[in-house]
Amino acid sequence: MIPYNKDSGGALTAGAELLASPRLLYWLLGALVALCATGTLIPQGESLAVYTGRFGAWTGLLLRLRLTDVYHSGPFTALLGALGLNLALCTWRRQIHMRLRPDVLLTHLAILAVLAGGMVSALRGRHGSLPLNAGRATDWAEGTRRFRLPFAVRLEDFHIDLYDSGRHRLTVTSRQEGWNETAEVRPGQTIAFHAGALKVAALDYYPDFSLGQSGPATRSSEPNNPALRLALTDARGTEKHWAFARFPGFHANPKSRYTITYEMVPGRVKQFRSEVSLIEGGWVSERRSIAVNKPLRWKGFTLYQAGYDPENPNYSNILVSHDPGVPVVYAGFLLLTAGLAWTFLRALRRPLI
Amino acid sequence: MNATAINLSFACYLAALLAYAAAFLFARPALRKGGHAALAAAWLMQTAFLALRWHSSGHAPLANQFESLVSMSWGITGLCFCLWRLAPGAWLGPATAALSLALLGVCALLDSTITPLVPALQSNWLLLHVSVIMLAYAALALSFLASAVHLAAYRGRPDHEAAMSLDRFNTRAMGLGYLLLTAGIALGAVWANEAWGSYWSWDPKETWSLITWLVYTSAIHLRRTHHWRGQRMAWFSVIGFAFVLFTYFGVNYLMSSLHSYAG
Repeated sequence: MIPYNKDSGGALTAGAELLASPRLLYWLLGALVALCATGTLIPQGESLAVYTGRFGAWTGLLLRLRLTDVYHSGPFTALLGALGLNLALCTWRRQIHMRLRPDVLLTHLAILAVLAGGMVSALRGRHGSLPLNAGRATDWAEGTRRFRLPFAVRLEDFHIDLYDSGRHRLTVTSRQEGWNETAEVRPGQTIAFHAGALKVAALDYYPDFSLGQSGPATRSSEPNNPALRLALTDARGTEKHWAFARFPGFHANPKSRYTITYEMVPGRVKQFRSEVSLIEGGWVSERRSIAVNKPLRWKGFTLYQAGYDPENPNYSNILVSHDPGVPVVYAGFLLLTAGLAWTFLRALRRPLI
Repeated sequence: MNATAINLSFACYLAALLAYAAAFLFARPALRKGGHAALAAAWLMQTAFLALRWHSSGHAPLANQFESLVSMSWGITGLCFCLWRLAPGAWLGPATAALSLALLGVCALLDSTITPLVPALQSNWLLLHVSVIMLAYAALALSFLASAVHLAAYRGRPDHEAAMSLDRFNTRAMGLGYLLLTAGIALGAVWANEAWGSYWSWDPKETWSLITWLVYTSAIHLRRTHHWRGQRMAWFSVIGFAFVLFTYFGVNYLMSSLHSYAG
């Protein structure tokens, strides 16, 4: 058992005695576990209507106890503060032992660094979003606290890269002969049904079909309203057809010899990418790309690809963050892992008792 | 080829378990060596499966629950061999074979289709973060196995040599698991900061990882400062592993999480 030197603290007051007690540590850890778990069981940061619908008469109590925003509540912050204080006092109080176990000292200091970094993040960190439409620039970040950036960001273009363009499945039923067959087709391709008796050509593909003044058009490259223009050729001649994935019966020709069902399986998204210009003093300083997992760092701020609007291909939501706590937290993580590795390797060299 | 490797691995785990059972039932220690050989063959087959899958998918086989579970089972058996000399008793081989077999059985219920990576997973941090977490879970699973054997066979006999040996193994495995869990959570936080703009979002997966870390922190602290040993530590290890299971499986199925693509 590790010797516990009660005298080394010397001038600790009675209150500090309690705060420096290892027993308190377990109570604090238990309370932290309970609060953390509560925060995952009760939805956090939702609207009043969500809580009323889910918890009914208990909603008032949840709000009073701040259980709808546990991790930013006073009791949770106080708990983390007490934990840090307890750890600091325990470490200081056992300084003789710590001199003999620098690995344990390093571990304790690392946890304090992570807590301190978290505090810096909470107090000095700024997070917001830049809802951007193509061609428009802004230097204001929206969020719980609106703030201004030292540069403006203009969205030049937004792309959704796909692994594949999607699959188009056609099911053709012959009204006269009664046969029914399904096959996949690519836009521009002609495929044969019923042993070549019918040839179906996929003439044009409209991912987001709309009817403009100049005829059929597509509003975006997103498959919001997929439509295929088809030509069906058999021994009797050629018929033109429209097939809509979302509206199977729409624009169907009741006199046609065939009925067609069209199913569109969208392609898998490979990457979301925003091309942006960074503007300083009215001039474009840089033109850069932001993608998921590839943030852009500029003048102490980091810009992340955060969202898009399937209905609007010219919109991209960019998250912006400035967090001076990050280096402190990272240093804490590094020291913590090093301290624990040191302890583990040290223990391997000694027989366990 | 992939399916053959994983099926052979399953068969070898089953053969290992049967060989261990036969060695115990018929008091034929020679059969135990056969069990060890089958266990090694199972691990090699699993290694081949993971290598082939990595090659054919183009990314580390850690992108969904099927792949991570196979990797965890691979880690359990691999770490079992690394810690072999710490377990002089005959329990480690059979317990590892049984657990890895059970995990591969669960894998059979999961979707094993190879799919392209979603944008959020296209990062080198996938390999670093998930592999370290899976190794942590593997080490904590071995700590759980030692504790389960301890509680099942030596409860109330703290001075028995085998009980003390199990306690030593539990301490080493838990220490290794705790170190890897800490590193894995830290790596995940760095990745989260790269992908989501915040190193900690109080996402359910993150939060339950922290809860698991706090539980093991308490266990290790109690052992070092309050001399908790034997049965009490064994119970702590069993409870800690229940938190690991909830973090790994429970959160995916019961809670909405930023980690939902891992489900």
